[in-house]
Amino acid sequence: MTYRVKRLLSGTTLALAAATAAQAQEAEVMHWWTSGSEAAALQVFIGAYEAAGGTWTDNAVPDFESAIAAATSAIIGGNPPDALQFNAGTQFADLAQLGYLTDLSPLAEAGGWKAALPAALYGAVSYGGKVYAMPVDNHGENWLWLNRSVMEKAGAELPDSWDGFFPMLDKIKAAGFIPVAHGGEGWQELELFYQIMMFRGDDALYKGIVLDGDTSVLDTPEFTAFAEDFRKLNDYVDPGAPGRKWNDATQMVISGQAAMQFMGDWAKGEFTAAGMEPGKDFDCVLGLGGQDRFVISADVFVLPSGGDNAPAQELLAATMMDPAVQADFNAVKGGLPARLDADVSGLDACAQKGYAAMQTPEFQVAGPEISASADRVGAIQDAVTQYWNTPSETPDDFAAALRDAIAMTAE
Amino acid sequence: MATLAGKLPFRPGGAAVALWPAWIIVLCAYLGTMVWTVAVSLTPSKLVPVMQFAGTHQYERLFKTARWMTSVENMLVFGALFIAASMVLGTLMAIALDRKIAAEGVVRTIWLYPYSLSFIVTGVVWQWMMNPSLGIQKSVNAMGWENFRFDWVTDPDRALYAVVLAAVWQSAGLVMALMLAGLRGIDEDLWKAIRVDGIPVWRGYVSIILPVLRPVMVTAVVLLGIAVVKSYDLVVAMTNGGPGMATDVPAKFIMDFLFVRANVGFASGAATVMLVAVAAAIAPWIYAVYLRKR
Repeated sequence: MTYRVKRLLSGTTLALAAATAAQAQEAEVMHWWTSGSEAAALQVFIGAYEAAGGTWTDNAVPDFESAIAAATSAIIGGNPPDALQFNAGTQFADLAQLGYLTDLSPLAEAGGWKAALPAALYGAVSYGGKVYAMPVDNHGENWLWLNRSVMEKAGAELPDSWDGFFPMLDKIKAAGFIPVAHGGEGWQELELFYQIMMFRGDDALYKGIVLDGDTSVLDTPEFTAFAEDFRKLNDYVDPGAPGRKWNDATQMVISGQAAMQFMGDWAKGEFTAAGMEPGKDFDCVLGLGGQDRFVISADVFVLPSGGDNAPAQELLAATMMDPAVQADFNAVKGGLPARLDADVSGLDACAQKGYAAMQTPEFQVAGPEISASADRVGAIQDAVTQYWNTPSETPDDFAAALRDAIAMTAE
Repeated sequence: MATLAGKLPFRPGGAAVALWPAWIIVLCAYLGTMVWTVAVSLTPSKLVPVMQFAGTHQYERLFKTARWMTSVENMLVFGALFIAASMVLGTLMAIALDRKIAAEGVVRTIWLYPYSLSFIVTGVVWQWMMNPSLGIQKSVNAMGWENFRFDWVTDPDRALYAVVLAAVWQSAGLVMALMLAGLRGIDEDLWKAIRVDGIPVWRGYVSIILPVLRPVMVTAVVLLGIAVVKSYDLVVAMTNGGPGMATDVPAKFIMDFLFVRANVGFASGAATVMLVAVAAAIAPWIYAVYLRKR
């Protein structure tokens, strides 16, 4: 209402019009990007938005959980921020279903999002055929990080196929290094679970268990073979792993105690902070023998509806979905642009490798968070961590536990 | 019920009026949220509470969830060991001080000191000490005892005992302080009578002094029991529920589903079961202590 009145009044003088336009494009943005590189990356968005004539009102919360709690109560209480950070995926489907979010389909169509985004990611921001979220970055979850000097000292080389993987680990172990640095927390074990699937090339298993909730894949010999290898990997992890944080495990690779770690691309920052260079001191690997699968997770922004701030929200969408802005933003944050049509020549070797892998549609894999409900991912995680930590559990027990997890979280 | 009714502010007068704010807080904040939690547990709510009736669906799922059953079992084992060990150790420490050992002031401070640390600090410190590749095991191995093993915190079969150990270390001092206050309040004449009758000191404690201190012990057990039901921070700091689900507890289960897994309905169901269980456990005690006498 006030906006419309102001707009009518603004017709009288040019100066007043300019002032109200700026005022109308003031956007309150709620996010949890508070750590060093994240906060620095956010400045790119703020700068671009203000350069486009908007006014950014920052509303930072400490972490994902408090953001969800604060944002949902603000939305339900009728006082939503203009934009709100989320993880891509099913988490915001609840809000979309209840009509709390602005339908971004017109903007998506005008901006050509469907062609520009990886199909899995476009699917993850759509709900019921409409687009509800803007993906701003893209994080690969399935990287393998290797310390070059340890690999050289052990005389080990990364094989071209999974068959050579355990012999390589044996070689590293015999040379007196910890082959795999692992942090024994539930989420890291889930991470390891689907990373091994990716490295083994078990696409059908991943699709069945995580994406489709199709329990028939659990009865296949492929699942048994996978479960046995997953168990076997336990022998190459040191006994101090349980409870270890992911960055402590990364430090073990950096310091040369361990040879490698399976972890998302956020581990890269630890290597570069320690003064190591990608492709020189450490290697980043997405797959064996050129099978570079890319498991996608992404940060998105949703635009809550009900406010009278549509112009500001539209300007925000245009800014955040601009390929050049996304490239600049991710150069600082350490991720990749969500759009596939950005210029990434300014990014480092690992990022370029990831961006190249992302261009191949059959190797774009929707990460668990963006394809299954938080509830289902959690239930799968419980089954995985139980199997990993219970040596007496057989692959059949594991299959049964996963079957329960999927059945119990069926919608 | 008579006691409860006697406390209700129905009588006019300044005192009753002054109590109204407290009653409003109790009714709205405590009872209101309890009723709300129970109501939400009967809905299919996920991220956002939706008021739509779903019957006992959440409860059916809850009792089929292996992790919930494990976490309840863990809480019972943890609770029994933690309360028993803290009571015994705390009482022994109090008795030792009561026997006027040397340097009582220093010893008492040292024994009570752990209680001034939060559970988070306690958990982190013990996690470091018990981690086989960082703590005690590593130092002892480095000193030459290669076969020495102290890896409870990373062993799924022993991790729960590691948590009990840290919790007892933290809380035994509290029991000691309470019991010592009780022991110091014992009438000297009672001790004189014990000596006159030629009863050995240990027998005097076991059969005469400690029974007199029953109210103090009940207080200590209740305080420790509350710590057991709330046990969350220590577990999160020490093991984060792991390895696997070896040290998972109901409070952590509920927090996980409430915030990380965006399943408000299911978490409310679990919280309701905890509420009912705690109520069932303390109802006989409340009846015995407060209501039966009238």
